[in-house]
Amino acid sequence: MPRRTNLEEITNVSDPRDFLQTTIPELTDIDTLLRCHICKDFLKTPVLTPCGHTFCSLCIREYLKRELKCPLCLAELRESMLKSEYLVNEIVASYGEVRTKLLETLSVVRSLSTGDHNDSSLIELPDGRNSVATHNKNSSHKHFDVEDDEDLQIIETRDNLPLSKRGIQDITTAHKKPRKDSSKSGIASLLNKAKSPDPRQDLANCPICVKSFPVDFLQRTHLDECLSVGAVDMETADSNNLPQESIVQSAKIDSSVPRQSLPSLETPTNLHFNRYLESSSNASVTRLAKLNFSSMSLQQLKAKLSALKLPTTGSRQQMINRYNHYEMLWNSNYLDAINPVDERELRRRLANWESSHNCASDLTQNAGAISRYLNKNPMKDFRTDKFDRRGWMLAHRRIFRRLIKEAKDGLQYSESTDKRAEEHNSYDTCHNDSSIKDPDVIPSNQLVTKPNPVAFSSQKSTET
Amino acid sequence: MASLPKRIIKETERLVSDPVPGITAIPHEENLRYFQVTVEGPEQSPYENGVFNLELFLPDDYPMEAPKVRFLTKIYHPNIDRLGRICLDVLKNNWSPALQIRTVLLSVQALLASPNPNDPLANDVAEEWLQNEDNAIAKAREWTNMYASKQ
Repeated sequence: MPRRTNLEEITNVSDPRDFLQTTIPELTDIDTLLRCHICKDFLKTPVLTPCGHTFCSLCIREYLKRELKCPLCLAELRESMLKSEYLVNEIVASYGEVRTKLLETLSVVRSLSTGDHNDSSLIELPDGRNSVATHNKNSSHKHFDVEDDEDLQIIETRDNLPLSKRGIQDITTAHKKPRKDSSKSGIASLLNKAKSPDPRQDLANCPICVKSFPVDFLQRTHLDECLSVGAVDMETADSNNLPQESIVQSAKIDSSVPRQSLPSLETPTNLHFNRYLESSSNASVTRLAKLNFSSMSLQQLKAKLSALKLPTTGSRQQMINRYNHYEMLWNSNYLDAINPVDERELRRRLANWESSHNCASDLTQNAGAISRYLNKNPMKDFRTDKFDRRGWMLAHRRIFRRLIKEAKDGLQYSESTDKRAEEHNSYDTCHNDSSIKDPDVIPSNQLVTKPNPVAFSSQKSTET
Repeated sequence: MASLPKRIIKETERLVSDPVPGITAIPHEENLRYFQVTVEGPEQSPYENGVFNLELFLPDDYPMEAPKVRFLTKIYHPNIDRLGRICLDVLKNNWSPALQIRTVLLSVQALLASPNPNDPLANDVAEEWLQNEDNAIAKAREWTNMYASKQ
């Protein structure tokens, strides 16, 4: 678990609560709804269960290897019952494309409305843009009408929110840069605007996008941007619906803030809508079957793998895992995905998965996976890169031996007194009883003072 | 071992930045899958005013597999045995990947509010609870003061 990669990942993590700091905190809800309940990330190739719940195709298929029920309502569920949801797929994809823009734009508007009291024309948003914009307008109006101290409160909440995140940022890393930047640019744009003359005075049409702009702005910035940004703007589906008058407003914001509110160069292609219309199930490719490995010879297994052009290296268990994972990737890709990738890409993903899971190789049987791993790789680091297991073993050999002895005694003790618990969770029994000295005192200090989960695993391995 | 899934990072961030009232969960700096947890005893329960230490560990297969949770503070409760193991459906058979650390810890707190002696883990405690509830509650309160008092 190298921490560097963790930090990289952390910077990519988005959260529905990002919207709490914008003018429309209600967007948190839709941001949450578009996420998978298993991975908590945006739905990737969403599939629908008969009970009406939606998950990422790979997440739910992975889970169904363990439990044949819906994670949300616990209703019975099988892989064959899953139906892909092209519509949701496209909704999530198109939302994902505008999310950052949405976030930036909305927090910009907020800093405008809280920062500037006098020049209301700056903040007023166009009418009839969409419900989102209407909402903005309302809230910005509210801000003008409120008393000073209420305004202060608004500023306070803005400042407080990032503060409350500091705790985790110590552990992880700051990752809210986009928002900070956007608010800065919001302020910057404010300053610019304060200097610029009323933009309604001299309007001229841009020869490229044929929309009205203040001459000044048109000459200095817009022409260049309009020429270079065309491609970016095609994604902004809603901006071409802006009524003419409102364009002045958005153009002003554009002078220093992101380009997304620029009027688009031409009619945006409804990429996701068209893809949805064209979607159809792939009848041509068949489902990859689950195999019964117990009745299979190594030769047959290898033949199966090579028929799929998969590597035939590694142990039997590794090959089985490889096939199982590939089967999942295959079925998810060809049965659920709206745009299936080719087999080469699937094999590349399989290789990726194998390289990141080479340690915990037996996913299908999770019980005792840790101890099996330790047996197989006794000298390898278990949880952290720095952990020296041998050193640990040598240093604590006496204690380990005593723990094993006490674990055995403790097992008998708890069998007689606590049979139920014994069946309930042998994992805990082993772990806990082993470190017990006085049966009435919880052996907590060991883990409280040294919360090293190696204690979990190493003691577990003594059991086998 | 597999790298830390985004989901764990996300949950951790949320736990620290937006904690559940009465519950804290702090990841260990060496191992982000291990959490030191404190749960305040619910009001109007025998565990009121107590702060209980727990440990929580996210196995490799989390969220496909339930987190491992255990009380470190001694507690007198029919569903928590003397080793701190917890008899809670969501930690065992009723685990679902749609649940998360937050919900699990809330369930633990709810278990403190409503002990269930009919599905016991600590048999002696459960027996006492069924036969002489007042006595059992008094003892639970006493243990809370003794082992879980805020300092």
